[in-house]
Amino acid sequence: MRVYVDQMECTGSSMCEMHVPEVFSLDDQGLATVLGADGDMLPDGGVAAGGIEVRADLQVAVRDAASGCPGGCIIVVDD
Amino acid sequence: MTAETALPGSASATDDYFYEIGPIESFDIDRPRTVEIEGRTLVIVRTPSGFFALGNRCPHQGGPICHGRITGTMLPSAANEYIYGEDGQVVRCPWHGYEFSIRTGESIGGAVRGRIPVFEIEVRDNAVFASLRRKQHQSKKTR
Repeated sequence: MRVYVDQMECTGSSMCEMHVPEVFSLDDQGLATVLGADGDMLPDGGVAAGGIEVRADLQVAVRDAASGCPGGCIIVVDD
Repeated sequence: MTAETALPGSASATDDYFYEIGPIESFDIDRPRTVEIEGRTLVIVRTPSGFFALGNRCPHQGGPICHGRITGTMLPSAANEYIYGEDGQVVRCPWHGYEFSIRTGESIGGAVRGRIPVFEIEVRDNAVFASLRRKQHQSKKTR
């Protein structure tokens, strides 16, 4: 399972960051993005990288974050 | 509310990211209207001071901004003093009444974390052109 953020729709509510800080963070524009393996924020919400692979123990939380995102901008891609 | 599919507009001299979304007269003042650009919904707001293009989801719980009311808000003031201002510069979400600046998308008074996306929009001659490029935000985090 992979996940990325469509920053064009992001409202910066930071609900994703609060819900799964291991996966999401807000960039310097206040928009959500995903964190790479080294913990660095991926540019453009991780779109260019095709998202990040989500650890098995975080997959339910990431789906919850996606369903609760006010902007509807968290894109989950199942393998 | 109407939804229309915008066709790519004639590009400006500096870029080609704008789409023609209709003549000025097709937008009523203070009545938000949606347009579709590349599968995305933008809320177009015409006010006496100009045009604004917003995303359609409230940062609070995703309420439909296109059904919001264009209004003003109560300004900071002394106790027992009530001052209404910014008339026509604020959209009120229809779900819970939170107010946002149509210029910046930010929550009035910082009541809600985050902001409504604001996109670039221009008027050229008698036509309105909107872009999917978001306006740059100044602060690092909104709250």
